[in-house]
Amino acid sequence: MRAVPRRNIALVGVPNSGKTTLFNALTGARKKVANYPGVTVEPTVGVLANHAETIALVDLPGVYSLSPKSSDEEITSAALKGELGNVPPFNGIVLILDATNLEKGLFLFSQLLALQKPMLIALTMIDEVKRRGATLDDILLESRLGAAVVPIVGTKGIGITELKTKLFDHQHWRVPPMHLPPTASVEERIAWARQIASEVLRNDRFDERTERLDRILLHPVWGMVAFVIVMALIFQSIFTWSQPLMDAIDSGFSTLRQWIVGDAVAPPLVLDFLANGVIAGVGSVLVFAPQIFVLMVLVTFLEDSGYMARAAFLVDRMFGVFGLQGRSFIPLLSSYACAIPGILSARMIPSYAERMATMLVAPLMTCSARLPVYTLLIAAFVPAGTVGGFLSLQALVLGMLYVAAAVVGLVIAWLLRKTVLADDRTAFFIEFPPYRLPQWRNLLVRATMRMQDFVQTAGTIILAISIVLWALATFPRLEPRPGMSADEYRRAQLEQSWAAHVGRMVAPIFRPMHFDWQVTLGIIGSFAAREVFVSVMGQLYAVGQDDPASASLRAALQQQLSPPVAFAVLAFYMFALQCMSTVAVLRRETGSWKWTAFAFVYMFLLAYLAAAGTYNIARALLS
Amino acid sequence: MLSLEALPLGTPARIAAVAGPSPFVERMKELGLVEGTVVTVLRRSLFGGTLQIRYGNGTLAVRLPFASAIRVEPVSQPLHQHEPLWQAV
Repeated sequence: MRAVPRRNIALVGVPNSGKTTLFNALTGARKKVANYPGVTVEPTVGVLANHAETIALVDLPGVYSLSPKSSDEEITSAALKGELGNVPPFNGIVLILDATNLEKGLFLFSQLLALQKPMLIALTMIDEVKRRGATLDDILLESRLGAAVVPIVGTKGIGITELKTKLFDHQHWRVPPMHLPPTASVEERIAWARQIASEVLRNDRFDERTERLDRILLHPVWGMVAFVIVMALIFQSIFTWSQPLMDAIDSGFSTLRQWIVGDAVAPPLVLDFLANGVIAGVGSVLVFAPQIFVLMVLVTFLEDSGYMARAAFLVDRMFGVFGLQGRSFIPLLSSYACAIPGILSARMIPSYAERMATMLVAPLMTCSARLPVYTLLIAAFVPAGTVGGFLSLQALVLGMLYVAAAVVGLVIAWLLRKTVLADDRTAFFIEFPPYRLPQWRNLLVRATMRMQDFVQTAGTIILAISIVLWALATFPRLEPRPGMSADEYRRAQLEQSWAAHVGRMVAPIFRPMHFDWQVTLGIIGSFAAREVFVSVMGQLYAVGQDDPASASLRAALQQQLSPPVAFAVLAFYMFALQCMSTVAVLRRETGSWKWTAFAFVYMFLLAYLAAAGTYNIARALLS
Repeated sequence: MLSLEALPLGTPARIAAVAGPSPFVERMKELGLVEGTVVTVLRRSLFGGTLQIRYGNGTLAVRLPFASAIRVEPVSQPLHQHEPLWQAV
């Protein structure tokens, strides 16, 4: 069989031009993340084929120009110029021109001319400019640019087939003439773009529907009311829409594990490995999938509808003070449910430094996995009384933990942006696309892609770590003594495992806050997920009890831990990055182990200092 | 000549100069905020940190320290309804 010729085609457009939507419509489900070395936002590659050849279509990050002002723009610019390491040169460029934003697209076109590559123009949003009363002459545009123009109505699927045909038809690919000298200034290029735009687009004016909606959604009072409602819905939906599925996945995997190991006191090693190593690991990857899917659908909906830019504008000032930006809000809010979808949603933040700072503080937000640890320790060590006769003291402590986490997170973000992430090329503007109705298909495709990507990349790391944690708790293996119950066996096994050895070994580190080896073992075990701390305490102290509401577990802890130690544990869990899944996702989304290690170390130090401080203050106050 | 920040809401004005660090100036120009472009400040964000401006047929929000680096000259004559704003004399 002879080799099918293959062409590399770049898909280029300004941000918000509907590039990824068109990319998904063209390539369907057959795509993967491009393996570009050392980049944070990896371009996606989709493959199209007919009988004669294969086209690898690369969706490059959106750019306003070829003189990059951010690291994402650098990728596109370097890839197009053929300066990006082992990325093969492109045989052609498909430029997306958004008819509602023609001037910026034409400016980009004027810069692409210098590359002297065959081009094809996809003219999108033509229905939208027509709706607002303008006329658009695509034939004239084609002759003025000297490149084939394919008009597209994405919502109706018009033009997609034609574009696909032209992609394969070589006679439609032309190298456009140099309309401007390569040395032309930005002003000259803008003037040229305006000239062309005014010729092909007549009677265009500002979208009235957008203006009317902006008057409400950007209003100082009504805009904030709408903002709070939208954000509350998002937060709620992460729980209500994904919780039933998460519970189902969780219990499904537990049942499967139970079925494999049966009720043997000490199951055979192979079965134990299968059930508690592999299957438990796979389960702890898949349990995040519903949350990721739901949040990605919602975030893409807000982005495609144009509302995300407005939401970002409303809170931009507040986050700007801390070196973040308006788009940091949703990642941080979502991290109160779980840092995994929170960090994944940070990809919508257009500037590198602000995106990194958002991701690096997201794990500090009080996620729901901390709640079992908090409720157990608060119920056991905070008196049940009230403050001022009505406010429960326990609820007050819990509330303070939530608020303090957000405050500390924002301060850390500010510090990061002053030091390791100081970048003056940061975003200083937000573009407002017109409001439009998102395409459901696009939302589902994008959310599915992110979910698959999580399972494949972060999932592999999570599975590997959970198998290591399983081995630490399983070896050396203890033979059960006759008459031993399963709970007694598990406790005895855990107490002499490598994990316990490691716990005893590192316990001296926690000397300043008087954590004994059992608490240390709990901390090590809870790297799988924070709530595991509760079940480790249950196995060690209360024979099998792992319900944080269990009275016997509470009583056992009150005997085993002194109140200052318990409060120090609370402080530790507030800050420590005790979650392998977050570590894996940080590795995936920051694109580097270095930043991941940085996050782990700074949060550990923060947790350590907070625990030591809390222990000493509590001891001084309580004695 | 005044800074964009000082321009009253809803008043069209022509850009006279864009100052500031060079990546910022270049990006503003690439976005079409070149000398001669007519802009209108539509609204300020809560606590005043960011300005929403309109030019051509679209809008953009610019953060304040940067927005005040855009110097404008208020347009005296009324604009024609159907003329694209950036072409208006």
